[in-house]
Amino acid sequence: MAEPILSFIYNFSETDSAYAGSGGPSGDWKEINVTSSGTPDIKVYTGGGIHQSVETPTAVYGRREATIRPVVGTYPVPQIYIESTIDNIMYHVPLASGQPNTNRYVFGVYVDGLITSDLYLEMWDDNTFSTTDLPTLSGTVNYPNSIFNAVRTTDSAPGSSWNGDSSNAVYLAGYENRLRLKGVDTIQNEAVYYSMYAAIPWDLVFTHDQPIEGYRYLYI
Amino acid sequence: MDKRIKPIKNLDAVDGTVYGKTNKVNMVNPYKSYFIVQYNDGTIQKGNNLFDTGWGKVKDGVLSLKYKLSTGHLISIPKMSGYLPTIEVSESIEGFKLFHAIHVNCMAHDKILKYKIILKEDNISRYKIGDIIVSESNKGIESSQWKMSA
Repeated sequence: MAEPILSFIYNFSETDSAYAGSGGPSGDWKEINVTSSGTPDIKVYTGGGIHQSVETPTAVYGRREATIRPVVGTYPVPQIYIESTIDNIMYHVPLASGQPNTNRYVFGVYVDGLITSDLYLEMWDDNTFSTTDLPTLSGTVNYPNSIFNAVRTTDSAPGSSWNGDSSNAVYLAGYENRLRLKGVDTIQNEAVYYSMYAAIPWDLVFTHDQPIEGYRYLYI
Repeated sequence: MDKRIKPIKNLDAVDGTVYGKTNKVNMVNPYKSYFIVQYNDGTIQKGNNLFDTGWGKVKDGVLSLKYKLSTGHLISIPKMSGYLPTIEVSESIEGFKLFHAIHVNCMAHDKILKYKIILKEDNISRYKIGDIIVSESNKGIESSQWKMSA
């Protein structure tokens, strides 16, 4: 037996339809490049500031727009991009914009092979997968949650006002607050889906965090 | 293109180290950690590594099951009716892969015993590489990859 190969994929179109490939980019879906030999792609949360939004469907590599810290409540950062070092460009993920929304096929993972557990989406401070002390993961005095809201959409679309408290959703932070991407303990040659966004609470102090997104599973 | 990613950067022959913001993790070298099965007729079968374990080639009639870790640990699993080992791993979209543990599911009379072999150690966890945590489960695990004892 051997480890499965995971493809981390995202929908680059405004069409809310499932991935039809068997690993790698396919149709409207692109793949997040993961590599230890070069600079991997990163997920960029941006927009909402003076210029409101970064251009779409692609933007210049390294482009950022300030976001907003609200006076009360939380403010969902309006745009997510995948910044590609290989293509030297930023790809907008349109279905992840304007969250929370009911889009279902936003981000996904294609499993080529067999996983003998669920696939768990987690966020940590760094690649030691051991701490969640960053303010974006530990939250604030008045908002003791991770700012990263994620919901499983493999089986159904989320509600229009979903957040980390919703059914099949979490505020991503470490092992205890992780997301089951299928809800079943076997995944084989198939894709699982989720949606996510970052919501800035009113009392979050200025920070420049770069937590990591990780996927945990078992195989034979 | 081989899309399998390296577990950590600067992996050496013995183990590898991941430096975090406040923590440091040492992990076994997954290329040099494998199972050893002995059969009733005295023959011995070695696994490959933690990526391509080779468990699918193991036959029924297992007399003993051991794990050799790159750190030198040799871990013997007690005699049970059957075995189903799984590997627990995390991948990050930054291209890192961290091996947490080997979960050896063991078939006992009316339950499943799980021997969790720790593959990493850090400044926070009380467990060290080679430690074994035993737990019990009444939950059945269906798989064609159970290998029965002699």
